[in-house]
Amino acid sequence: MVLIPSNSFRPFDLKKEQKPVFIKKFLIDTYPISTADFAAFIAKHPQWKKENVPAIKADTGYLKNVDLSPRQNNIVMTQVSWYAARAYCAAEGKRLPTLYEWEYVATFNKWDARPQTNERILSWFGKPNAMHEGALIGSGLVSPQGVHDLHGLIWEWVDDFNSSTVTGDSRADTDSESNLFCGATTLSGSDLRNYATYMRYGMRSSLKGNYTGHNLGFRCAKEAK
Amino acid sequence: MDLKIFYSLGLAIALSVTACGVKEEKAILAHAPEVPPQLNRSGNTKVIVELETKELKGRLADGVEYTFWTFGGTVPGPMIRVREGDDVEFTLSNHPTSKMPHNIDLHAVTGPGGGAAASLTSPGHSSKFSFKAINAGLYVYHCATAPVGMHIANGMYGLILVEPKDGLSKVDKEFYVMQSEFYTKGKNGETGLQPFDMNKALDEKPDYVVFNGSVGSMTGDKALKTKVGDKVRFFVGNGGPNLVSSFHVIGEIFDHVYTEGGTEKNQKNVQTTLVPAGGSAIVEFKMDVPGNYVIVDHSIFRTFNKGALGLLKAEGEANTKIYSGKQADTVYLGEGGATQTIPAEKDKKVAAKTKEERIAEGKRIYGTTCQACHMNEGQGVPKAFPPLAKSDYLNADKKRAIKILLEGKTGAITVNKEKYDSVMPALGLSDEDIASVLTYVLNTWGNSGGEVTPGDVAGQRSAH
Repeated sequence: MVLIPSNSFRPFDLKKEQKPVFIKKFLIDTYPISTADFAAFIAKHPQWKKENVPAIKADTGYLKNVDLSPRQNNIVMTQVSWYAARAYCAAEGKRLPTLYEWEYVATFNKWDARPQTNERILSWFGKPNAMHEGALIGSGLVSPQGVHDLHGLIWEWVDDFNSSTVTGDSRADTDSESNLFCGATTLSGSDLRNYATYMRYGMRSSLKGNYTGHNLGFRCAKEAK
Repeated sequence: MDLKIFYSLGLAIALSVTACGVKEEKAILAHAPEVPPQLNRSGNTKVIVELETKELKGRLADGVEYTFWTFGGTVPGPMIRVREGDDVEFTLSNHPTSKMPHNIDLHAVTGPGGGAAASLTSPGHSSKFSFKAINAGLYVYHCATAPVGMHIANGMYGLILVEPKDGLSKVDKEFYVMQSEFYTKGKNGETGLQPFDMNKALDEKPDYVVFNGSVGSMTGDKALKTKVGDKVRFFVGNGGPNLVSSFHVIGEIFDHVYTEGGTEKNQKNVQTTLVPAGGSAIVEFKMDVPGNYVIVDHSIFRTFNKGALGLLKAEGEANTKIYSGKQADTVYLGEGGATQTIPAEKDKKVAAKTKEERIAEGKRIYGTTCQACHMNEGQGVPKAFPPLAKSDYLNADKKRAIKILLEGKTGAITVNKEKYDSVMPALGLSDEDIASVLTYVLNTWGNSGGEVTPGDVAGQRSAH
């Protein structure tokens, strides 16, 4: 895990007049969870085997096409619901990172906005996806604080994924979320990183707790003493 | 199976009566350039529309690939056809391999987001919503998930036609054409998988402007085919994301235009009609003359340099009263053709007497009489007019040169190893002028030099 020191942070959806958010120091997994990690978890907690999980906790895509043999520990785990991710982290004595914690590390000092980095980040969205493709942990980008694969690998669950949402129609969000209205935030050429951020916020808004996805995984976080 | 039984079975399935006793039918979708068949039911019904969003790699141009985000696996997405007053039950499914959530805004929908608010769909899930098609017209639909510009730019648009209550008039052929732009990292033509370029999209500087999602979508064996006499209707859409189209069919005039895809056949005899980004138009015309008709965006560099070109073919009997084709092909000299009679000048021209005077006078005559074809450095025009510069043909025979200026020349000749088979008319120049211009040419551009006198010319003229 990587120790993230305390800091103040202006998240993407913060209005101009609002004060920055305070991120208390915390620990975050260096890498997202692998298939081998999750296979070990299921072995110890059989209630999370596919046949034992109720639909309310994971939809029919749960574990679909995932090779759970623990041979390789560098394939990223996907096709897990928010409930399953939470349960995994809890079993490790950890938790999911909050939305702001995750966004803070992912955009620390605007490292994601540097032109070449931003190009790599945006190009992930344009790459097609084979159904049975297992993405390799470590193939994504590394943040300045040493956290891997926040960009360029998968979408990640956060604890409060539905706390800051765009409405289904990203152009007509209500006043209370007016910064998420595409037109309200004036995007200049230098704000291209916000397209990736928009897409992350948009993606989270489309999710429900029991959803699973071919490109949706997670990592855990923990309080730092 | 007896055909009648087959059809009535099919009809029964299509118009199945649900448990509640409500008639419903499944919408027939068609991929561009095809259009779903005209609705031949009377009145309204519940229509089930099922559409899938899928992200896939495809061909944008020869050697150029792009990751398209699509409705129904194609760019543009399929065309939907319903009638004013129908109740539409719409299910949007996002393929599990998609990276992005998607939704749909149909401009035919009256309601928040045109349906977008109700249809945000995560990969591997489906959303359902219903609307009543209360307005007739030809409408664009597109994805409206953040960032909207990018979703549209990657190919997520199509058309939905809401036929007016009485339907549209009968035509022989209907076509679906949707224009759009693509913004790629590489220049137009750069091969390989090209990623989307956000900066170019913001600057509204596309690399590709195409019909139906790729360069050449309606050319070659994919050209649209009609027969002479066909009444043709085009449902034209513009997905943008940025450009407005100047839609035109070369060689045809739109007999009727439903401007901006509305329900009034409000304009006749239109050459080029505007199709707004996120808008449409319906045009109708009749094929009168056989041949190839090029479909273009008349903002013309888009057509010839970025791909906005399609082909419409008409086969059938020629109609030379309407169009004759080429009737004559003759030489045109431009200015200085000595066949024009110039009135005698009041001040008498001083005749050139010395070689230097002839050269100077010859230069003037060359400029007004010969330059149009043989060009300003005597270089001629390849395959058309032979060169006079360093011309082996000219230098070989001075007398022949004089003869040509007196009588003209037809037939094939070889000059500096190139063959020319053109026509040079007799120019009606005076002896003095022929002498001057030949002297000038012989002493310029590396030719063999020497002098031609009026006497030389006169001698040949009488011999003729």
